[in-house]
Amino acid sequence: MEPTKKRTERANNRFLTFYLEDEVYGVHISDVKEIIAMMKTTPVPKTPKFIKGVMNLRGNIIPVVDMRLKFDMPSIPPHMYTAIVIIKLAEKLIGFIVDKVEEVINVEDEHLSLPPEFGGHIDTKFIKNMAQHKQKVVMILDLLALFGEDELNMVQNLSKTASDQVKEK
Amino acid sequence: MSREKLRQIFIEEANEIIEKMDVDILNYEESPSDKTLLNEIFRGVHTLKGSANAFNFVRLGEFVHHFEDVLDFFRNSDSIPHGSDVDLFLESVNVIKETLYREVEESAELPVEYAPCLAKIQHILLHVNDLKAPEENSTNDLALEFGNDVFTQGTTLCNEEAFLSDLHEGEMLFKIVLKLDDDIYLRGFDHFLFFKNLLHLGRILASFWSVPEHLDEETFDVERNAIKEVTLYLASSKDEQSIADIFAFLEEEEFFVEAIKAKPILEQSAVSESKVVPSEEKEETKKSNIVSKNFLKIDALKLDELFDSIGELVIAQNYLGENTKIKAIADAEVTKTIENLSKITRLIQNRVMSLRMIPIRDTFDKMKRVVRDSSKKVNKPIHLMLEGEETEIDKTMVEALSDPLVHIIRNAIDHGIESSMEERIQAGKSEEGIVTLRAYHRGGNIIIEVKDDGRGINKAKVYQKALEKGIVEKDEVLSDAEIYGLIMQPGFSTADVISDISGRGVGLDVVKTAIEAVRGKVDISSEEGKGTTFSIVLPLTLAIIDGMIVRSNEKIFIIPTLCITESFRPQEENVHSARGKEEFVQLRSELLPIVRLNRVLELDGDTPNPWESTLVCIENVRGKFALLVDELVGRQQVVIKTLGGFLAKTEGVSGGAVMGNGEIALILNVEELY
Repeated sequence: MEPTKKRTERANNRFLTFYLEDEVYGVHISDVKEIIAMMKTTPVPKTPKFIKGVMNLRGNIIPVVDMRLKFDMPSIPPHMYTAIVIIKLAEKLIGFIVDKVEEVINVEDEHLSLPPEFGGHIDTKFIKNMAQHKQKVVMILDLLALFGEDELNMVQNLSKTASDQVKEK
Repeated sequence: MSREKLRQIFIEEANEIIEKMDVDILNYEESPSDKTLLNEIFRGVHTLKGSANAFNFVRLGEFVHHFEDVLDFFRNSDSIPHGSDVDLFLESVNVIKETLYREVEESAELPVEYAPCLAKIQHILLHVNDLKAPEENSTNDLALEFGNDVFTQGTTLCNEEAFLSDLHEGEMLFKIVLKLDDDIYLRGFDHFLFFKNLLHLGRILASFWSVPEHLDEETFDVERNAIKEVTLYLASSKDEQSIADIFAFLEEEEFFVEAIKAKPILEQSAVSESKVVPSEEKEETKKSNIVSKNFLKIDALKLDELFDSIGELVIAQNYLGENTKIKAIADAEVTKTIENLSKITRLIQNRVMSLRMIPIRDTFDKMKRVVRDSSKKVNKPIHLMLEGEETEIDKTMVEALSDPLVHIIRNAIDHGIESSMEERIQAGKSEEGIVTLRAYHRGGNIIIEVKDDGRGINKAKVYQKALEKGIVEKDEVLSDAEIYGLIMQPGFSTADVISDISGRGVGLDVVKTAIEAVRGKVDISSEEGKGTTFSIVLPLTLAIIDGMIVRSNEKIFIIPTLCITESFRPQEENVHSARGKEEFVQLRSELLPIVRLNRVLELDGDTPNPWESTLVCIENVRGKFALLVDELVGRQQVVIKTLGGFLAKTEGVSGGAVMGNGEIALILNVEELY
């Protein structure tokens, strides 16, 4: 049983890292569905600014969030490294535009710490953990916290109604 | 296959059988001489019985068993069930439905109607058995044929059947129940004394003794009677009174004598038989159309998945067709292949679409029962006419349609049709109220009409009521359509008396919501004294709509064609503005507000003059308005997708569609634009 345990332990602490400007962020690897190159999005009116719009993922329509705008960074035109990380959040797929996808890292428990109080432009509630990796500090994101309470409720309600519908069937 | 899975299949199958039985019985009522139809019902019941017992649904099995016996009798005899029998059949189906539900829930309770209904069935059976006793062995042929008859018959009933056949000439069967009090020995009697006395009057065929409970040595008292109940069957040529005389010394509640006879019921059925016969001749020409087709059951989920994939295929194919690089290849082979591909894709799309389409007949058939029940409840004879049952409709739509239809039909019977026949005859109408259900295609839509030939809607009354309820403002001038629309507002009911089936003010607004949820709409037209027609307009399928593609600020949007009445470019002199801000356009005699799409959607951009743009005239629940867009791009069938995630409830947008170039165009929700 020893190796299995070790593997789960390791999977628990594996993160996909990406850049926004020169800051490194990480998301848990099990949340990541796929990574695709930047593609055209259709803006949706009357939605928060950071929602870039919707895109066509092989026939499915999914919302796309511009991470730069979400973190109050200036938006930049897409370049060759710009990527969309597709993440499964509350059973729904959402795309996140990032500057550059870096790698998948393993972080030992002892290298994870709680985020310190930040001043400045980043609200710490988005950040679940700080991870030290090769002399760099990676901010591990709590993606659900990225959304306001209303949006979160909406996401939860949606997944709830979806499961209710399944039950009814 | 696990037992649970089998059980699931049984429940599904049972529900299907029950539904079909309902319809078959109603059809059978119309043509009672149709033995094939009766056989069909019988087969369903028989299957149900077999599997109910296999799954240990004893109570269901028991009930179905007796029901089967009744059907079997009518199947094998020339007598035709009369109205009350058919009522009993339908009641039985209800009980079966309820019992199945309870069995599945594993609830210990039985439906309230279970016992009375079973009693009625046994009542019919009593005289039935009297008739069929001589040819007993011929009746069970189907059971033998199926070979899965695992049911053990209820003791009392079985015995009574046997005893009845055991009677000699001039004898009658009596059922005697003795419930002697425990002090009976002290009063100088015991059971055997009565038995001895009874033997002077006739033959005792059988007796059943209840087993005393808690009979342990300590409490046992030889001087006290421990036998609570004894049931015995006596064949005697004496009458009921002389038998009861034997028990003259007992308290009234201690004994019970019942003559079990079949003769009077038989006479009754003979009378009704002769009543039915004249109509039967007419019905005979009507052949039931039970056509057995080769069906394959498919999980709806799999079908949806297939449908999604086809959607993707269509998009990919469009992309291929519109790709400029591929277009640039001037090769006949390539062009031909792409054309071929497009043809095949369309073919596949159509075929997959047709998989989801089913005739509306089943839904209409279910309505027969609704009409029958409601008509009995409010005591108005109703004739239901069906038209266009072959019209095909999307499976998911069928489910959404059923409840609204029930509401509308009940409403038509309760409020539409005149309360008394005199009223109808005075108005020069037939005694029976006529309700017509009709389905047909118009444009890309399916129209389902529920028409009654009743009173029609009293516009003044509706308006008055709406004023009282504060739904409309005083002095507000409404068009006919708007007044009719009022009756679908929540909390609205003009019925003077609230009846059991409608008039609580819930119903018609539910109809509206349910129909709008499947992207349809409800139109009402009415003529006072002539009747009312409710038309449900539905798109052909839920997944694909006919869309008008418009451009506003260099962005493409789709408006469902269903809500567009027309589009036009106005003359400059027809455009008016109020307070320098709100704009109106005169279209013939109407003055419509202009809604700028880029403004409602908060898109940046300039505000062109209306006479240099295009106005799309849109009708929503609140009325008509003119939507200002830059231009119309075209009209196209689009596959609707939700925006996904937290965007699914975005104001003004009901979804998105993937266009030929792979980009997404938003589908506008016209209800939220103005």
